[in-house]
Amino acid sequence: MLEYFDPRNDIDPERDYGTAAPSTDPVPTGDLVDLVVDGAKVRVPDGTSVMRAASIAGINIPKLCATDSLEAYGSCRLCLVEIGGKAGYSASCTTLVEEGMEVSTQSDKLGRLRRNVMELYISDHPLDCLTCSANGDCELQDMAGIVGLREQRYGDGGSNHLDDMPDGSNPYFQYDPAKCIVCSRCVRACEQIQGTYALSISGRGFASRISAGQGQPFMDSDCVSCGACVQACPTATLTEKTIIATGQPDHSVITTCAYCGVGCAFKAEMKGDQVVRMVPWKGGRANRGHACIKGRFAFGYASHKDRITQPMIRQSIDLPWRNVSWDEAFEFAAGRLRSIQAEYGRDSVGGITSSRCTNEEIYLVQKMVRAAFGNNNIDNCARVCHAPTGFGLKTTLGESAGTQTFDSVEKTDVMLVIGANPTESHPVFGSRMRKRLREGTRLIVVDPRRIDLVKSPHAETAYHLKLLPGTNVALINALAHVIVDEGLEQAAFIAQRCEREAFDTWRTFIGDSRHSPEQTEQYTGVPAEDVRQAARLYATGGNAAIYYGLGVTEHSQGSTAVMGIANLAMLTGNIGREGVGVNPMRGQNNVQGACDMGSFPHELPGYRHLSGDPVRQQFEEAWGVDILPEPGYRITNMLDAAVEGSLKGMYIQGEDIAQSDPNTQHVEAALGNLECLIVQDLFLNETAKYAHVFLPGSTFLEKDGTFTNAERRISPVRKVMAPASGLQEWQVTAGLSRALGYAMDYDHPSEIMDEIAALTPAFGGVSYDRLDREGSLQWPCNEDAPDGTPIMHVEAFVRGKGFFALTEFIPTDEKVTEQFPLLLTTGRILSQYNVGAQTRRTDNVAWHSEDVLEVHAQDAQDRGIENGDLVSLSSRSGITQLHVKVSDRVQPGVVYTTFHHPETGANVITTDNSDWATNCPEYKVTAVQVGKPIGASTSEWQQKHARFSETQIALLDRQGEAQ
Amino acid sequence: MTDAELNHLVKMANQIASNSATGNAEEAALAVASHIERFWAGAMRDKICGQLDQVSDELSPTALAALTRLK
Ligand code: SF4
Ligand code: SF4
Ligand code: SF4
Ligand code: FES
Repeated sequence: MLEYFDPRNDIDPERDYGTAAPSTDPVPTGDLVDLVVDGAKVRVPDGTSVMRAASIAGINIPKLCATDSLEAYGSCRLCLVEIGGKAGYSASCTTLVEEGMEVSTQSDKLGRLRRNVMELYISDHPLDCLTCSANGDCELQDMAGIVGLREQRYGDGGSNHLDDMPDGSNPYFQYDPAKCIVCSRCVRACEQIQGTYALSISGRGFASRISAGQGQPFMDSDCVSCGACVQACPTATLTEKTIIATGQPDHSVITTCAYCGVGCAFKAEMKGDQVVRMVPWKGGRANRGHACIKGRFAFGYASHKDRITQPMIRQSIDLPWRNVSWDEAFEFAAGRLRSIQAEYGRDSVGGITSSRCTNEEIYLVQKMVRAAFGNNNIDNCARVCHAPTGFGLKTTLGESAGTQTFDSVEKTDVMLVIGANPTESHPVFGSRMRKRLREGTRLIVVDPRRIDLVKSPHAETAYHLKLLPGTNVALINALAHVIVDEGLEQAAFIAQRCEREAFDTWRTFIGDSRHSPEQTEQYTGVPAEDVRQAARLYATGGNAAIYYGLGVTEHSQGSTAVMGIANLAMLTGNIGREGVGVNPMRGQNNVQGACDMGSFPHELPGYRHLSGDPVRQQFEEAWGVDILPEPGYRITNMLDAAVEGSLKGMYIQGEDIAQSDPNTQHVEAALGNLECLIVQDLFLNETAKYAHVFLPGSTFLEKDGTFTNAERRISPVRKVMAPASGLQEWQVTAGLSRALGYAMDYDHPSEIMDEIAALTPAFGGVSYDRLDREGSLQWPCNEDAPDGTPIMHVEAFVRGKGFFALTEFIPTDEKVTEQFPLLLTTGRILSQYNVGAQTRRTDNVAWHSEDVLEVHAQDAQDRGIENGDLVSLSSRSGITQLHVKVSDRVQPGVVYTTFHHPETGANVITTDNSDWATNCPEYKVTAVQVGKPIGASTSEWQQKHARFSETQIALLDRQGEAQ
Repeated sequence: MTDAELNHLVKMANQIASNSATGNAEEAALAVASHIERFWAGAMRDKICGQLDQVSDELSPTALAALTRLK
């Protein structure tokens, strides 16, 4: 007899097993059950459905309402089977296996029953299969074939839904109710996978229909356009508009999303070299088959008409651009950089890399700066987001990275979310958090603003500690104070795992009453009792995990707050196993990787300070150059030096600092002062308007490489189409380096990764071959950890013993005054990404066409402002004008906006205050005033910016003329 | 003309000093000096050290002690 065993982790992501594997939390009893399906012996874990067991044995029972990403529902009755010793028929999707069970999946009677079911479905379904958009990908059609449906006896006359009108309100997918079989897969996907609860079944029996919101068009409902329902739908009812327009794909390639730090794995479904659909890949260990609106739908920018695909140069920024060959561009750029260095010295040029680029590209740029520029003036945009994470976690735990996997959340009992908004910024992980919250996990949110997680459907009430912007450290200290004060710390863990002396010093420090919630309330505005309760819950509620984001790092004490967070985790022993830990939520896709790759002015790849002789010498030997043992400029310092006049040349890869960095007018002054600005990007972004050399970039669909997500997971990015400019980014960097006289000879990015692996201990075991075989790897991956490291600091901390750092609260200099009595804090929303250069060039603008200012009703009333009014927003840095949304998400005294649109220029308002340790800008706190608009509809800066932009776009259009 | 870059460096040095306070002045100055050595570009350090007399009034005692060490 044939025998099959549940392969557990080794499932085939391309197959649909009908129902999910039994949950591992609570930990399965470990009991295995033996049964027989159609004569084959199968052994599966207790809790498995008969359908899944059969599927593991290779027998696919017909089904319509079941799919293995959802809980079984048992409505279609197509999956009936006979079970030995049981009368009648059982739905195999909802029936669980039992020891000794004998299952028959086929018999004449079952065949007749299934045909009857199908016949009923088909009687209310249009028979336009040949011209249907789902043709070739329709489970209803497949099932009709499998059950052998040959006739349809109900005629066409009966009542039906064939005339129901489609809803095309969503720009990305269509809902065509005429084709709906009411299997409820979409409803369950929206609830169970996405957690939004936007869909329901209205009506009963024959009249039942799927309804978005209160019977509204999709766009007017709560739907966030994640696409989970579209993917789950077995028919053409919910279908991507790209598929309707072009037809089914002919092949697919597995790759990684280039938007956020979740790093979702996708199947890029292709027709020739065109992407027709992005489908989140079930085998992806970061996303497990889910995606959000950005990754799934917002890829249209890749073929947007604004893309620049020709290298361009110009003598000065008031002249038109001239299209040139790659070689001419390289020669021009290299010539300028060299003459600048000859005139102003070696340190007068620098480079900035983007966390949107691949590891290989970023590694190469820092190598070029160190080897060809001959200095350490290399920084990454992580400077403006997670540099404090690097500093804080390295100091306390010994490694600049998050400690967990995303899967770890499934073992978490208490989530402490500080300054992060996962459902907007890290949506796929946000959905997993919501799922866990529905299972009863408790939630503490520390945020000045009410984020969606606070009110998750079907979750327990959360603690929301609504602190004033700029007081994170005071609040984190208060939490630690309560834990120590009430004796809730894990003394044994501390004694065994942490530095004794440092802990004793810290214990005395934190025990002082100035850190008590009663005393810190004056700064934070959070009632002391709430802090005490939250601290008790974090310390004693079981596995507790901290998730934090830019609301922690982007402050004058960002690094201190990160150290405070690590202290909390060590104090309560919440580190070194599943379900706990310290989890920085990384903004852009490759923030982790960009930091790992040494694109920092003080560190070589793998976070090793360049003053260390052995490390530096290793790189000097490999690269055949001398490396300066002294740090170079950080982004902020480069800008200061440019304004002052000592830095004259910059190479900026994939970053738009004129929009994304704080105090825009300062940035503009710096860029305007440069004698050579080289920008490599997809579009003529705000920064490129100041450039002398434009090197066209390639999208993530046009190149090979790797991204490293927030869980340290290295995933492959694969080229699915030729680069529009003819070269991939790494080839461009190599070309420029060659022109500068430093040759880089690589044939493929895999060779760059081999070099990284050879020089960086944490990457020692990483190669493209292994990534191809294993899908992804979590570093450290080397001889000590051949399969990578899902959870860090298990036996000991990377630095040996954990270090409790002192975290005195020092209020920021950015204080409210009579002139600027409100605090502005900034953030992001789901549909847009960073400066929006990509997402603004997709239909995502349907969700967010402008940045608006959220103001509390009280503050609005005090100023005579109403919802929708145009207002002026001013700080000591600048003034801009935008529309108001009166909202109770913000508290009185606090206003909030996003920075996705260049016209708003939210960063005209932000100041040059920064984190004391890393110069990460203090985006999250700016003292502002909101008032009636000053004259025109836009501020002076906005008008100046608009004029400059117009001139620059004209110079781009006139490029033919100059040739 | 005021030197914006120098002003910024002064502010940064003071910030590092206030965040490195340990209760022991000597220790704190050492910590600030080491932080500046590890994380500041040589040009920044040289700039502020070169004009220390000019900005000494604006520096906190710890920051001044640290920069004097680095001079
Ligand atoms: S829309 Fe699709 S998934 Fe939803 S009930 Fe209808 S057929 Fe099923
Ligand atoms: S797209 Fe996502 S949020 Fe919208 S209805 Fe479908 S599952 Fe729900
Ligand atoms: S943007 Fe983030 S959450 Fe959305 S699909 Fe991409 S990686 Fe996943
Ligand atoms: S698949 Fe089991 S009842 Fe629908």
